[in-house]
Amino acid sequence: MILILSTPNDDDTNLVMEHLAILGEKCIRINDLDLFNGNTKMSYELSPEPRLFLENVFFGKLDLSDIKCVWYRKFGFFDKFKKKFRGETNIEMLEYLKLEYTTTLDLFFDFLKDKKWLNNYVNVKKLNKISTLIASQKIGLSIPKTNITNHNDSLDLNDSYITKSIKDGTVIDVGEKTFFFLTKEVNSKTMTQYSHFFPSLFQEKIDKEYELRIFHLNGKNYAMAIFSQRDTQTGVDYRHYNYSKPNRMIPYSLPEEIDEKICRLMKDLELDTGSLDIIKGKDGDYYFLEVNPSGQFRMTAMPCNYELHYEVAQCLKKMNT
Amino acid sequence: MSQKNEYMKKTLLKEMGYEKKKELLPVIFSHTTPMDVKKIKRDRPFRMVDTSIHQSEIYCLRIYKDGINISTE
Repeated sequence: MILILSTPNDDDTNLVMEHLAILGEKCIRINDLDLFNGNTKMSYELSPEPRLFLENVFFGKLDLSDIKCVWYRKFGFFDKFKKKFRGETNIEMLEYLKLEYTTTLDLFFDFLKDKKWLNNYVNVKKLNKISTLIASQKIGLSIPKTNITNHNDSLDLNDSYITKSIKDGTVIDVGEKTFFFLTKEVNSKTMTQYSHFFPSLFQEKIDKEYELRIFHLNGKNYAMAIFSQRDTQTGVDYRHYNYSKPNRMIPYSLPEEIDEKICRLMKDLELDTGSLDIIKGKDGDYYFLEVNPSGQFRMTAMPCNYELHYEVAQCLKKMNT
Repeated sequence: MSQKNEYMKKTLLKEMGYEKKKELLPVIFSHTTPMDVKKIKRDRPFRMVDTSIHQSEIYCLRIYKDGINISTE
């Protein structure tokens, strides 16, 4: 049996499950949030030996020992749960909940560690932006000049930079307003007001021709070009989506050398699947930015007519035999 | 710039009232402005449903006034 570790409303999970249903493969989906809002009952009995049971209206009662393979799709984002406490200012309480939340989900990883995994949780958890940039540089992919610093001295404020989170972006609500931590262009005037600051990540702003979003699955790359550069809203980060005038997105054929390097990178990172962001610079070079093992791939599959959800379903079917 | 745009452009740093403590925060705090999430949600043609095939709550398209059901179920 296939187990999918997911989150509510993840449409990539929905589409893969539709394919699995057509292929006649039985699968079970657990949403992280459902374990905390009571939608899915869980019971982890430690004696005489550890056994983990789940129950909900969709699949009844299940012993997780019966699982053969696991798709680690998207599991463990605390933000959705945190929303239930919007406005809460007690940091200790939120930190406590986050730790308990994460530790509860870790029980699942530990219990399932000997199963076959599509993206093993160990490799996903050890992933970070900086070590990935270093790994990509080592195999010959270009990266934007990157600097993590706490003072202006190592920056030339006449140059253009972007800043983003060193680890993961987040969402912060202040009153009625919502702030997303996406990539932002650095304002040199703002920077002159700082004598020093909390260590922050800076990257040279690449003058881009277009952006690439690449879905990787088991040694194969599916690339899409995003023409985000001419829209001021999406110019720095296409995720500042312009819904009224969406960026043009088309299938893209990668140069063989880049294609091979991406496969090598994913192999080095021990990831079976993930979505990579690359910029094609006006200088003709390809600049690797980051890889997201849980990134959505509906956005790549649909505009490019790639059958990615079918491919993932087929992959899970093979793992389940 | 309209008053509403001015309101939306206020950075996270200003919104939290930490301008005097800016050195203690990553610079992204002084570069991040709010997104109009209410507008995005208002414009979204989705509704939430539970479906057994997806074993979850999912988004699906609204049924429009002219009676045409374009839901994804």
